Amino acid sequence: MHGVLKVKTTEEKARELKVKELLKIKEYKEVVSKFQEHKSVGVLDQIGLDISKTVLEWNPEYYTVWNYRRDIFNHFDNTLEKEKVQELLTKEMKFIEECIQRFTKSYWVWFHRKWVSVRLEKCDWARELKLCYKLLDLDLRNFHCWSYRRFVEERSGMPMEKEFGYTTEKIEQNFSNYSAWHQRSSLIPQMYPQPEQLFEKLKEEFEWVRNAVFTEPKDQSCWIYHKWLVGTIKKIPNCNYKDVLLSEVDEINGLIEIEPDCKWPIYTLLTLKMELGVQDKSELQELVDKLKTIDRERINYYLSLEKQWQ
Amino acid sequence: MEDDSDYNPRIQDPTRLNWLDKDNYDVIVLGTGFVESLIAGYFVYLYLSLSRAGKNVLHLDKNDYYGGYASSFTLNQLDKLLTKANEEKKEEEDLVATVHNINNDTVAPQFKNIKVYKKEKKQVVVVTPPTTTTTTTTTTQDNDIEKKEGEEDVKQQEETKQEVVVEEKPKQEEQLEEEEDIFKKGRQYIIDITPSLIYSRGPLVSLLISSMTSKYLDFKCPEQNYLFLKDAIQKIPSTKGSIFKDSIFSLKDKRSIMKFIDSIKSIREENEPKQEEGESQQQQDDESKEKKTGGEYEELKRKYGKFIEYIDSFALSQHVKLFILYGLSLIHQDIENITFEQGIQSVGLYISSLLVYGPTPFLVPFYGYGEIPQAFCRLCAVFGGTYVLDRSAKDILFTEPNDSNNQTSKYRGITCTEGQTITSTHFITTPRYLNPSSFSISNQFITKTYSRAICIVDKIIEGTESYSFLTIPPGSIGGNKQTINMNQMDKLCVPMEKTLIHFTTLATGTAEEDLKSVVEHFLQYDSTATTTDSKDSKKKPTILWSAYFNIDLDYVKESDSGSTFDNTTGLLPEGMIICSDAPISSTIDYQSQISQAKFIFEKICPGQTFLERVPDAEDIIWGGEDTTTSTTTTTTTANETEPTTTATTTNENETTPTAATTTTTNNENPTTEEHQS
Repeated sequence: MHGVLKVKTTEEKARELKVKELLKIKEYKEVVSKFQEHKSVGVLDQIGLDISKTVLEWNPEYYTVWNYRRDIFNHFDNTLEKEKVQELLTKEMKFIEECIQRFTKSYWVWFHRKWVSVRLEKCDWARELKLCYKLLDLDLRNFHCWSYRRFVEERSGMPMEKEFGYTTEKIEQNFSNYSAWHQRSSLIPQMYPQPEQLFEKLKEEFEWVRNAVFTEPKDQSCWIYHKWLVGTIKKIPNCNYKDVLLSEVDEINGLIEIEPDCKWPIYTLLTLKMELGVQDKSELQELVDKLKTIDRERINYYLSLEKQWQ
Repeated sequence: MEDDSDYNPRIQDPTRLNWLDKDNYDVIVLGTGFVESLIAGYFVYLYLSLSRAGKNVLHLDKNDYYGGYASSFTLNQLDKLLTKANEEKKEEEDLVATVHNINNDTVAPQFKNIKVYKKEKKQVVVVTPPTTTTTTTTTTQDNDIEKKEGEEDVKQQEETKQEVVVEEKPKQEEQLEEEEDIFKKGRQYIIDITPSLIYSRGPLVSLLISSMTSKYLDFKCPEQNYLFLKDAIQKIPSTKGSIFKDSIFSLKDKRSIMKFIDSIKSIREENEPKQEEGESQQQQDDESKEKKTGGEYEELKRKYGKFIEYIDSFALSQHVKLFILYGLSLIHQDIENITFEQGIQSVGLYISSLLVYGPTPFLVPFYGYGEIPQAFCRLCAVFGGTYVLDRSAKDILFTEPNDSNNQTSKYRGITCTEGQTITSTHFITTPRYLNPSSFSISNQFITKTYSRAICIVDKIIEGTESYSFLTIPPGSIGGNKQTINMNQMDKLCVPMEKTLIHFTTLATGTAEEDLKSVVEHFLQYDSTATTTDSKDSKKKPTILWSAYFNIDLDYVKESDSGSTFDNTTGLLPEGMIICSDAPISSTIDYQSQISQAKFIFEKICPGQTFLERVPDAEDIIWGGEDTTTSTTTTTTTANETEPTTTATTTNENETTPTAATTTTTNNENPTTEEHQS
C-alpha cells in the first residue's frame, strides 16, 4: 500500500501519554522521598525550605509540607536576624502567588498566605486586593478567594462602600453567586448602623433581589439572600417591617402565578406567611401540600413544618 | 506579469511550452470563493484516504487575490476597485458576448451604484518646534465626492511638491499641518466586501475545528449585540445577569424571556441531539426527521405554523417580542413569516452560542472574512493541491451530445488563459465564470442584491462598545424597508483612533437610497459644515471616508424539499458542477454554503465523510521506517505499565487526608486547622 497515509491510532497516542505520565510520577516520588528523608532528621533549615518547595510545586495539597515550612519560619524567628526572616517571608509570598495561580482552590495555599501576610511587617494589602480582583474575574464563585478578600479588607481598612459596589458588580455579572450575596449581607449591617437607615436600605435590597428571583426563580442563592433580608428586617427595633413583608407576599404571589411549579417562591411565601402569623391555617396547608408534591425529596422537612400549626 | 515560461522553475525543458507541467487533474476548481474553497479544502481526503499518486486538484482564480466576494481588502485596494468599477460602468454597453464559454470579465466583485466620499482636508494650525522636519503641506483639496481614476496619483504628486516648499523654511514656528491622509495608513485597514458573523456553536466553527483550519485563523468575539428599538440603541442581554440588570424589561418580562429561552433550549435538546456534528434539519430528509423528533416537537410544529405564533404564545410584551425576532433570530428577510422550524433553529443556535467564547454568541475573524476561504485553500495546498491566482480558464471543453446513444455531453477539460489544455474528471465553478449565452442555467439561481455602506470614522458611536453589532428592524430610521445590520469594528482591522463601520441590507433601491438616512442618523459628514455647537454634531462620529455600493450575489435556488443541490444536473455537461458564490446567507451563519460544499464533495467522492477530522500533522507517520520504531517503543511501554500504576495509587494515598478535610471544611469559614500532621 504505497503512498497511503498512516495515522497514529488512539491506542498508540494513549501509550505515549502513559509513558510521559509514568516519568512524571517517578520524578515526583523521588522529590517526595527526598523531602521525607530530610524532615525525618528534624533539621529546620534553608535546605528544608528548598526541598519542601519542590514538593509543593508538584502538589500543593500535601499539607504536611506546608506545616513543615511554617515550623521552619517559626524556628527562624528565634534564630535568624529579623531582616533576614522578613526577606524570606516576602519570597514566600511570591511563591504562594505562583501556587495560587496554578491551584486556585487549594485550602492549604490560601491558609498559608494568610499566615505569612500577618507576619510581614509591611504587607502590601493593595496588591493583595488586586490579586483577589484578578482571581475573581477568572472565577467569580471562588469562595476561597472571597474569604481571603474579607480578610484583606479587614486588614487594609478598605472602605465598605467600595466593597459593596464590588459585590453589586459581581452579582450583576452572574447572580448565582453565594459568596457575593454573603459578602453583601455581612457589609450592610456594618454600613448602616442606624435602624432607620438600615430599614430603608433593606427595602431597597428587597426590590433588587426581586429582579433576580424573577429572572431565575430556580436559583437558590438569591432566595437565601431574601431569607436573610426577612430575618434582618424583623430584628430592627420600632419599625414597620410587617408592611414590607406584606408587599413581598404580593410580589411573590405574582411570581407564583407565572411559575406555579417552582419550589422556591412557594417555600418563601410559606415562611413569610408563617412569619406574619396568618390566621387562616388552610392557606399554609395549601402551600405545604404543594411543596410536598413538587419537592418530594424533602417531604419530612415539610411534615415537620406542618406540625407547627397542626 | 512577465512571460510564464521565463520564471516558472518547474519547467526544466526550455523547449517545452506548457504552462503547468501536469495536464491531467482529478478536479479543477475555478474561483476561490467561499464554497469553492471549502470544497477544495475537503479534497484533502482524496489524498489522505486514497492512494492517487499523480492525480491532483488544480485551483485557479481570475483575480489576483483569494476569496472572490468573500475577500477582504485594504482601503487602498478597495478604493481602487471601486474607482475602476465606476470607470467600467461606462463601457458596459460595449460588452459583446464573447465567443468563449468562459467569461472572465465579471469575475471580480461587481460593484454598482458606487458613491465614494472622502473628507475634505482642512488646514489646522499647529505649533511646531523650529527645528522640526515634520512633513507639512499647505494644500487644500477639493471635495472629491465622485472620484475618478488617476486623480489619486496626481494628488500625491502635488503634495510632494508642496512638502519641499515648506521644508525650505523650517524655522517658522506656526505651521499649517494638514490632517493625516487616510490613504497613508490604508494598508492597516481590512475591509470586508460582505461582512457577516459566525455563531460560536454554528456549523462553520465545527468545520473549522474538524478540518484544523482554525490553526490558520484568529478570531475575536464582539463585545456587544444591539437592537435599535424605541429610537435608541438597546443592548441585547446575553446572560442571566444582564437580563437581571437590565432596566428596560419589567419583572414579568424578565421571567418571560427566561422562560422562552428555556423552552427553546429544551426543544433543541430533544430535537437536535447531534447539533455539534453539523447536522441540521435542512440536511435531513423528511423520513429521518420523523424518526428523530419527539412527539412534543411535532405537536408544536403542527400547532404553530409560523415562528411568530409560537412567540405570541408566551404573552410577551411587544418589545420583548421584537428583541427575540430581530435580536435573537438574526434572520434578515421577511421575519414575520419564518416557519416555526427556522425560528427554533436560528434562536436556538444563538442561545447555544452565547458565552462560548465571550459575551456575544459570535466570532469575527481577526483579519477579515477573506481569511476563511484562504485557510481552506491553504489546507488543500498543504496536502498537495496546486494553486494559481490571476489565471483562469478560457474555454471549457466537452464532447458533443450523442443522441443515438442517448448520451448527454460530457466535460473533458479546460483551455486555460495561458493556452494549455488541461483535462480533469470534475470541474467546479460559479455561474459568474460561465458565459450566459453558452449555458442556460440562469433560472437555477436567485440573484440577491445587497446595499452596502462602508464608513471610516474618527470614533465609535456614542454609547456602544467598540466592537459590536447592531440590528435595525424595518421602519426604524427614515422608513427603511429591510432589516439593516451594522458592524462596528475597532482596533483590529483599522489603524489607531479610527473606526470602521459596515452597513448591510437587502437592496430595495440604490445603496445610497437604502442606507443614507441610517448612516447619517449615526454618523455625520463634516462636523464643521454643520451648524456649530449643536450638541448632536459633537457626539456623532465624523466620516473620513465612505463608500456606498450595491452588490449582487448568486444563490442556488432552494427546491421545495429543502436546499438540495442537484438542480444543475442535466443542464450542464456531465462532470461539471456549479456552486453559488454568495458568502452571506439568509441567516447569519454559513449553513447553506457548508451544505452545498458537502453535497458537491460527496457527489465527487462518494462514501467519504465530509466532516471527518483531519489528522494532526504530528500524528501522521511519514514513510515506512517510523512504523517499526513506533511499534518497538509500544511494546516496551506496555511492559512498564503494570508496576507504575501501583505507584500512582500509593501516591494518591498520601493525599487522601487532604481531600477528606477539604470536604468537611465550611465554605464561608476558612479553615482553622493549623497543624494537622
